[in-house]
Amino acid sequence: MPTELWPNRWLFLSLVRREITNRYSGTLIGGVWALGQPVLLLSIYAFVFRTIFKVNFGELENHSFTAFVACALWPWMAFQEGVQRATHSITGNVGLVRKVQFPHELLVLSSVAATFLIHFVGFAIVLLALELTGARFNYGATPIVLFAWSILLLLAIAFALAVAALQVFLKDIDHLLGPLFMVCFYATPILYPATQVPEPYRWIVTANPIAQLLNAIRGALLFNDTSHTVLLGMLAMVALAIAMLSHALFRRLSSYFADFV
Amino acid sequence: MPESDSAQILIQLSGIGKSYPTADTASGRISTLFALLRNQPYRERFDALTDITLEVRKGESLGLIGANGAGKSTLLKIIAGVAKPTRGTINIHGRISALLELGAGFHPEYTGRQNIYLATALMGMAKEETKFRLDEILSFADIGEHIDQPLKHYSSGMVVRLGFAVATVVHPDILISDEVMAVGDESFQRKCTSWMENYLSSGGTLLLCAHSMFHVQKLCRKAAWIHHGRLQDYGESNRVTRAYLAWHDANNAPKAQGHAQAIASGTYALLDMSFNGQAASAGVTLAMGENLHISGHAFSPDGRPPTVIIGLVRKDGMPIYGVSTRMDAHVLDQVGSQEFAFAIEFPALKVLPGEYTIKGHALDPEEYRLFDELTGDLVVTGQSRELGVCRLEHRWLPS
Repeated sequence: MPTELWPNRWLFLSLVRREITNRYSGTLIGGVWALGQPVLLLSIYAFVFRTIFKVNFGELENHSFTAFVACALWPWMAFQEGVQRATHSITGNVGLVRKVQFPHELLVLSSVAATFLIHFVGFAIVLLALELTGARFNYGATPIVLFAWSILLLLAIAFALAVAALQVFLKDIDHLLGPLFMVCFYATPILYPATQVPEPYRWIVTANPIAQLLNAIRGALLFNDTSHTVLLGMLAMVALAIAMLSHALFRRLSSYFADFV
Repeated sequence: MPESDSAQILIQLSGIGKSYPTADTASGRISTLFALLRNQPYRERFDALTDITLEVRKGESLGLIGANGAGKSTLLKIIAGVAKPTRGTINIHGRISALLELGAGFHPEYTGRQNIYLATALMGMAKEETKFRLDEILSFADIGEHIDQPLKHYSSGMVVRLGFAVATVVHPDILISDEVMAVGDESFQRKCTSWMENYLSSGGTLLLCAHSMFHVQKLCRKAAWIHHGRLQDYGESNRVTRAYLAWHDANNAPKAQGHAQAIASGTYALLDMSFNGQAASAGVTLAMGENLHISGHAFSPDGRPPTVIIGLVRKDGMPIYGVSTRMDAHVLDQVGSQEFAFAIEFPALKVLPGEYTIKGHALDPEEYRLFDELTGDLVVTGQSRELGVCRLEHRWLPS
C-alpha cells in the first residue's frame, strides 16, 4: 500500500480537502460545528459529574475534571467518528467507485484523515482554551502525545478499512457500529480513571488498546507520565499488524466494489 | 493486414467472463461475501459476459456495438480496470484513460477550477502538471468566468464540457469512451470530434462504446458486436456494423398482417408478386445501380381496377419510397374478369448496400382502404461508405 500511496499523494490530498469541504460546505460556521459537538459533550459531562453527582477522585490530583476528560475525549471522538464516517466512504462515493479506476483505499484513508485532522485541531484549541482558564499541561511530553495519536490513527484506519469494505456487502455494519461505539465509550476510561475500575473488570481496560492510548495521552499531558513509551511501541506493532490484515481483507473485496455499491 | 499484425498489442482479452450475484436475501448476501473472500464463484448468478476473446493493437481502434444490456459497458469497465472479470485473463500494455462518465468525481460544491485539480489527480496527474496545463484545459472547456463558480450552478452542458476538457489533457495510449462523444452543443461536439481525430491520427487508440454506427464506422477500424454477453461478430468495422444493423432492423420490424386473410375474405388483394422475374418470397439480390423490376397480379372483387402501392422500407420499417398507381394516374391492365396485372421498373436503383423489404399493397380504386400486403426481401450489394439509405445525385464543384 505505501508504494501505491506516494504516486497518488495529490489525489489523497484532494480527497481529504473534498472530505472537509463536504462536511462543512453550506454551513455558516463550519469550523465551529466541528469543535462544537465535543465541547458540548464536555460541558454536559462536567455539569452532570461535577455539579450534580459531585464526583471527585484522588487521581485528578490538582487538575480539573474538565481537563481530565478533555485529554481523552478528543482522541476518542477522532477514533469513533473516524471509523463511523469511513464506513460510508465506499458506499457514499458510488460515482467514483463505478466509473473511475483508482485505489479505493484512498477514499477510506482520506475520510479517516479528514476526521483526525479536524479533531486534532479541536484538541489543540481546547487544550489552549483550558490553559488560558488556568489548567496546566506538560508540553514536554508532546512527542508521546503525538506518537499515541499516530497509533490511534493507524488503528482507526485498520478498523475503517474493514468496516468500509464490509459495509458494501452488508448494510448492517453501519447500524451495528453505533451501539457498539456507545458501549465502548463507557467501557473505556474516558470519564473516569482506569484505576477506579474494580479488579474483576480491570482486564477489560487492560485488553483495550484504545484505553491504553488514551491513558498514555492523558498521563503524559497531566502528570508528565512518560512510562508508557514501551507499551506504545508494542501497541504500534499490534496496530500495524491489524492494519495489514484489514488491508488484505479490503484488497480482496475491493475488486468487487463496483459490482455491489 | 500484415502491417497491423506487427503493431503492438495494447489490450488482450482471453476468455473473459463476468458474473453478477443475483441473490438479494440476507443469507444470500452473506454467502456471496464468503464466496468472494474464498475466491469462489457465486452460487446464484447472472452471466453478463461469457467467453470474450479479442485484442486491440496500437492504432487499431475498436468499437463495441450491441443492443442495450448486451454487456458492452461491462466489458469497457473490465478493460478500464473498474470491474474485475470473473473468468479469463486480461493483459493491458500502455496507459489507459477511461471516460466512462464525463465529470465522474466532480464535486458540486467545488468551483470548476478546484474540480479540475481533483479530476486530474484522479487521473494520476501531479498538481504542478495540472497547473502547467491549466490554460489548455480552460481554453478547451471555454466556459468563461463560470470556472470560478461552484459546479452546482453549472448547466449539464457546462459540466460535460469541463469533463471532456480535463480528459483531453492526458495523452493515453488507449482512450476508453462510453457514449461520451455526443455531448454538449453542436460546436462543442465538433471540437470533441476534431480532438478525437487528432488523437487518432497521432497514433492514439480508441475503445468506443456507441449506439451510433456512424461514429463506429468513422472512428474505428474494427468492431465487436456483443450479443447477450457473447461476442457475436468481430472484425472490420464496416462489415460488423452492417451485419448488426441488418439484424437490428429485422428485429424491430412491426408485425405484417396476413396476406392469406385478404385472399380468404375476398377483398382487393395481391395474388402474386415477383422481383426481376423471381417470386417475391424468394427475395432478390442485386448490385447497387442495377434495375429492379416488380410485377404481379391483383384481385378485384367487383371487377374495377384496384390501386396498387409499391414501396421500399428499411428492415426496421422506416419507409424509403412508396408510390401508388393512383398517384401516377396509372390504370392496371385487366387480364381476367377479376384479375389485373401490374409491373413497375426502378431503373438503376440508387439504394445503398444493405437489406431492405419491398412491400406491395392492394387498395380499393379510391385508395381509401388498404386491404393487403405482400412483402419480399431485397438485398443490395456493393461497397460504399456513403451514409443514409440512398444515393442522391450530386457533384463536387470547384470553389
